[in-house]
Amino acid sequence: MTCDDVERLAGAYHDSELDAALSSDLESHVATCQGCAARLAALQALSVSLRAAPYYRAPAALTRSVTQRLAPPVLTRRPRLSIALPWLIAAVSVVVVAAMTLPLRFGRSGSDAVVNEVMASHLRSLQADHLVDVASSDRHTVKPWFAGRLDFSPTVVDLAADGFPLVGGRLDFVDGRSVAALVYRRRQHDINVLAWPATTPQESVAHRDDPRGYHLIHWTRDHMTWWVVSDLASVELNDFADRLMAATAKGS
Amino acid sequence: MTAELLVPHLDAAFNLARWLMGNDADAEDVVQEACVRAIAAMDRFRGGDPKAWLLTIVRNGCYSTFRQRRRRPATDLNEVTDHLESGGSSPERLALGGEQAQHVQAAVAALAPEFREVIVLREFEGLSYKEIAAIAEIPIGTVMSRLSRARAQLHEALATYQGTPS
Repeated sequence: MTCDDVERLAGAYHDSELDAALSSDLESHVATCQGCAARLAALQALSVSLRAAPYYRAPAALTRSVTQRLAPPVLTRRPRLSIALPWLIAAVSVVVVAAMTLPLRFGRSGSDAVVNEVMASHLRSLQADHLVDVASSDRHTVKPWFAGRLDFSPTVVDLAADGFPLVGGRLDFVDGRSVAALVYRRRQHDINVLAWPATTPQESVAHRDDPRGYHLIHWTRDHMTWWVVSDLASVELNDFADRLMAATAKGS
Repeated sequence: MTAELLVPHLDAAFNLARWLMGNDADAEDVVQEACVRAIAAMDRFRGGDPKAWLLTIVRNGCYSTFRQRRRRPATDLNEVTDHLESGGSSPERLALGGEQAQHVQAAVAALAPEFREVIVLREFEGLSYKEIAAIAEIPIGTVMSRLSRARAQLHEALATYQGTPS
């Protein structure tokens, strides 16, 4: 090994990237060559100096943001009184009004009554040709179809690249109001996504299983309530829900 | 299954983004966006190294931001004051190291981004040439030559600060 070789290979040797044979050759040369020994020493000294540089750790707010926005399905509920309080006041006044007019109109978004309605919606949609009112895999066709039919504009995302093509959209009626039903598919399994504006504050993701073999996933975020129903296997449905959540996140 | 894979690597992700972008706010934006993309593209990730995968997306996000802004990323010493003044992340080593730390930081910040990133990934993250090559999407030979040039530049810069002949 020559000094030119060492010049080429010193960095790799210092980074433990040289194979045993070359390393051994280099060491033999360096043992008898002051210039090359100095070269290695300089690399070592530089690495030591560089340890004084800051290592920028992720700020706590960023870690929180990533884990909370994009966390796996099992979350603990975060009691946020500053947000809950105005909702509480609004909810109480709404309940008072509702009690006098439409006693069955509002329910807590995850209540058993809503679960039953979501299941019924899903099962009805599987009958005959009740699946979609607008059949299209193009979200630019499905989303505008809801305009004038709903008092909100549902977020329709494209998950075809993830293996969940859009089948279409449908109007449905759940929890006392008109809701958007977006139908996706994985192989032979239809997935109903029901969405409507939330009347409750943010809720963590919840899972329920229907004994007839269906899985339900529910969450409320950014003032929207979401329900995902399908007989697709739990693992795959969780994957779908994760992607849907990420794709519909505010600002994404 | 999703964010869990990424959380252990958020420090590495933020560190790389911070060194490339030169300030906390931009680094946070890039990492946030990279996490969303990483999770959305989970399908393409099949049992590889989640750290390298996330860092690739972070790096692409930084360069993409540079292109969008159509200006050179932070290379001149004016950006050093950003480094020194911004709170948020942990400059403890900077504080402890004192003047030496400032000089080292300035020297690394003064490197062109393609040299800075290999130094960050090799010296600060301890990644192998193969991992660095994958993240930076360059051949291993290029990793070696960039490291060599970056080290030469740093050696000279630090020798000047220390007042010893280089």
